[in-house]
Amino acid sequence: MHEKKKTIELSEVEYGENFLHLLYAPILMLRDSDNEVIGYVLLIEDVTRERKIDRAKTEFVSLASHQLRTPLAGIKWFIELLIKGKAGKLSKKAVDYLRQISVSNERMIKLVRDLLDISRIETGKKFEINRQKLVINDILEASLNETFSLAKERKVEIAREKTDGSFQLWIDPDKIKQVLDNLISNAIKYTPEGGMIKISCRKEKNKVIFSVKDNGVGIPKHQQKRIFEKFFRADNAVSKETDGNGLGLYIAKAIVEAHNGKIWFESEENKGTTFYFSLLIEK
Amino acid sequence: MSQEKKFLIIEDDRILSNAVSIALADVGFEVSTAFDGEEGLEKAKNEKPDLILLDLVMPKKSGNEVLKQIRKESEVPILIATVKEDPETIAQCLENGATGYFVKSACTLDEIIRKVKESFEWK
Repeated sequence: MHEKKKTIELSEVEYGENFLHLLYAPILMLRDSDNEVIGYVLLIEDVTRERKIDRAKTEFVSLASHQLRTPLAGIKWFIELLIKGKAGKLSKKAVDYLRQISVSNERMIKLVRDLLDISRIETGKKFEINRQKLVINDILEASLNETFSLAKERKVEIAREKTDGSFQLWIDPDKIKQVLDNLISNAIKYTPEGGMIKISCRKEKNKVIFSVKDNGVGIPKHQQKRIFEKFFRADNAVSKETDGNGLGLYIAKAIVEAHNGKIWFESEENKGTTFYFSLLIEK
Repeated sequence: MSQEKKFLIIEDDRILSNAVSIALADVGFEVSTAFDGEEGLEKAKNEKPDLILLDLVMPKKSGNEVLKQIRKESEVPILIATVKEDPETIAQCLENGATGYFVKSACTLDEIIRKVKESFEWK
């Protein structure tokens, strides 16, 4: 029997004269049946190649994503010109088709943004936060406006619980809006027609706690631990909704943590989920 | 806003350049275009535009080089159109004298026009 004393020690050491190698070196402690320590095992694995592949993969994603943004902007802008009638008056049907192209294009734009965020997290560059003083109400309103049409389309009602949103936070508005957008659109997507989503924020000591509560499919208990993992989607989420890349919560967590905040949830399968995140009120 | 304002778009992607040109011409700008950094710098000097929209990654001269050179002799408002939104890139542009910036795929043409108008007010 053995148990881990120290699991991960990642260190850069010089190997040979010109090369930097990365070593993965866990230490395992060996015990006998009386629980006495009888020795240690040190495992050393050279992970240089794996790390290089990982870095190359991240760089590739970043490069490809940047390259994708230009043509996506081209599609977006010409759709806008067409819808406005700059190339002549269009039939209602043509405008409707263009709006559907636009929805698909916006999905692709969001995916590219998510991938770029991921590659930024993966390269070890923590999210840098461009903080501004912002009234909570403004950011909640912006997020509700953004998700309004999805809620309408899915026939889900969104209610804002009575909140004191008049105080200010020192946050990155785009990034916190991204967190709220993700939580609200997830709640909409995983709540059946006729469902209800409640959004609130409350002040608690030196923190503001936001919550997004739904009465949707919930997260299966055995998968709850993995919910913030990259690319993870719970089984019932995959069967309810094909649109989803498993990146939203991973990015949301990185954003909240970059603000020195916390994100967590309570969930019961077939009853619903409430996501919370807290942000410090910094003076 | 006067209808005769001259606008220079320095952007190597012709499709994006076309879309912005159409939208700006539509609200009354006189639009000129350049498709690489050198051409952009030359037109900025010769045509004396009232506002410049500048891409960052371009052939011959990068947007940041163009920006620095223009700033040596002019205070013309310059809006950066970029596909990169990392803080380093943005900070570098602002440090080099950009008036503002936007991420291409994140902005509608209406939003770009609004930013253009704000840039004039800023000036």
